[in-house]
Amino acid sequence: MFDEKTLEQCRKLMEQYEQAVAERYQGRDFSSTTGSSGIPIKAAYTPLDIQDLDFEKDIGVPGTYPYMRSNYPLHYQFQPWINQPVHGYGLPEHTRERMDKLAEAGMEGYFGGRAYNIVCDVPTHFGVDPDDPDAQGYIGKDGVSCVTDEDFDRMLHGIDLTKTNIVLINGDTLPYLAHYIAYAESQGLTPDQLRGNTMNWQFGAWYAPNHLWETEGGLKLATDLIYFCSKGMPKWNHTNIQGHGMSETGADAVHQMSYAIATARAIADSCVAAGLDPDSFMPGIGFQIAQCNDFFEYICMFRAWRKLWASTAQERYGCKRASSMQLRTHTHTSCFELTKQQPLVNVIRSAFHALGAALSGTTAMEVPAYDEPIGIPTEESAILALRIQQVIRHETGIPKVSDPLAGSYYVEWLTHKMEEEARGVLKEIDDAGGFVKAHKSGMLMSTMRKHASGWRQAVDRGEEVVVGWNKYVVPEKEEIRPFRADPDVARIAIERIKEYKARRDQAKTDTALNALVAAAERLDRGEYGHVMPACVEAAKAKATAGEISKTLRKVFKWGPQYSVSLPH
Amino acid sequence: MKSNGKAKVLLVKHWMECHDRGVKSVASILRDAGFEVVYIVYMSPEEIVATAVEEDVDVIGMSFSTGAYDAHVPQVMRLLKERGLEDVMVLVGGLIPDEDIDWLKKQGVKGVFGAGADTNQLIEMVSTAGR
Repeated sequence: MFDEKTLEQCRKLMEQYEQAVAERYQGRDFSSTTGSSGIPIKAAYTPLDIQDLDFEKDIGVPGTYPYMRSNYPLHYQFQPWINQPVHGYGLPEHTRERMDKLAEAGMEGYFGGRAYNIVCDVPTHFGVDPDDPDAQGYIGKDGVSCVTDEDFDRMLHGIDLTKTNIVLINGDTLPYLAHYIAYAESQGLTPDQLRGNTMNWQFGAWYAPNHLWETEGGLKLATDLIYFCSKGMPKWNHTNIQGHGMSETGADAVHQMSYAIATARAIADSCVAAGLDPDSFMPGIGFQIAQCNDFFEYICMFRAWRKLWASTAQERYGCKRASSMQLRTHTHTSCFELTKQQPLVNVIRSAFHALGAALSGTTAMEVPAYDEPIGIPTEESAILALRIQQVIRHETGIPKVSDPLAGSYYVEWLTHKMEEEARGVLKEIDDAGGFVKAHKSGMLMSTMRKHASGWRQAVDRGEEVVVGWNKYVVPEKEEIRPFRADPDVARIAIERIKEYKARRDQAKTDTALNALVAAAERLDRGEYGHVMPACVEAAKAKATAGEISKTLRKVFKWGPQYSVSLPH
Repeated sequence: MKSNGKAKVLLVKHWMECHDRGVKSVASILRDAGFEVVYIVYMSPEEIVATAVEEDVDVIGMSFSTGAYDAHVPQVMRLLKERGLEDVMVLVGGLIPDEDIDWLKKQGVKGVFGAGADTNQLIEMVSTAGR
């Protein structure tokens, strides 16, 4: 990228530089600095550090393969990222109140449309109905309790689902999407008209002590969902790989990127084996990406991630469509780095994380509220978090230029380094027998745990400074009040589900659930395309999400797999 | 009290709880401090107490990230009492608003170690268990 004259000047000037450092700082060693992924970082970068990069292959321009600099030739200039705060609590009608408030406060999707990023409570997440004894103590507390088509109606009535992006954050995805489809059909719509996103986290809510389905069975369910969507829901993004969850569990930037791509590869491999054309399902795979404290490292991770994904799509899967190669991203800025102590400082932290995400060229963003170390956000804190995104979008001038940090010697060097490191981790996974083996053996979890433990030890020793927690500590009394859902939520949710079951045609429900068992058995034998339609039929026959989930458990192994072992 | 003179600790998290980074860090911290630590993902409060008996622990540490302590802590305290295990020290950690700490202590919880809690204070408190 540089002519010999420039490189010669660099070598000469860097010699002078090294000499100046040695003289001015009396030989003190500054070379031990590393980024948060452990990559050694120098104090200054020059063309010498990126002389081996090829401009066309390694950097390029926005909107061309390998899309490192941006998915599109014009990005925020044409369409800024979707501001997409996660929201959900209590009963569906409570969540609707927050949806409306956030929309009123300027939460918007592409081209002024609406996008709602709705999180369910943990029972719904795990496919457990409110009337199940396991759900007690958890109903509506950290998300919305929503387990039937009627619950979707309570939450979404009057919203034009053909023009609205509905993001369903939930683990046990098939039964949940089935009820969403049943609701949409009750409104006269067909699945192909629906736009939005499911998570498809069949075998890993990474930060949770328990995952849903045993790895191979989970992969089959994930594949069946994708099969269904790629045939009949072209506007639906079926899969969202949970990089953020990996980060919250302990993965550093390099491991977040590589483990997320390894997960996506396992799912894509399974889809190919099921006979799907990669270009039919790759555009529906997106990534939820954590943007954390180490400002430049996470920006470079993001750029490297786009490049690595594009080359994965093209080289591994032979994709031809640009949308198969373009990394669809939802940034979820860091949570583990937010503190309960001096909580308003979290607004500052999140603003830097969000700034990093905007400079990275993300396509959607969730910024947590400052009070999340004590609970889910209040209306006031949720709107303040939204304001962070709005200030960056409207007041900083950042959207004017795509990938504005490109060309920085440091940024280009680090981006390339992150890519190299990630390729190394992906190879380690391949060498260990592939993702499924690495997931089941606990290899991935164990690495993430080691990082989490190391981080905590560094905080306890004061080597990792956390403002307000281990430095600049002040005596304080917690001034903020936690958000609490209405105490009647559990009672009402339980009454509703009992009434829902009492009112249905039980014989019809039983028939649909029996058909689901047969479809699940076929899926277990590797026959795709039957389970998700059977889930939709069961939802239309008023089987609850929990009942559909329990039916699937008759065939697929479900429950804790690796997490009861102690970390090392 | 165990052979090395140190308390044995049972750490628990409900199977539906999300976010186990904290409790697993506590497991590492206590183990590094020389305590024997057992960690279980529980389905019901009965399982916690049954494990406490079986493992003969001095401390139970319950971790919550979604506020279910209002349902689970009183049940565990009641079951411990029924089994005559009032001297087992119960600690709570996770996402705990300060305004709930008094309530937890009234239930018989000895200490609350939430986000950003001091590692040394935790170790000190666990050290006093079983004596």
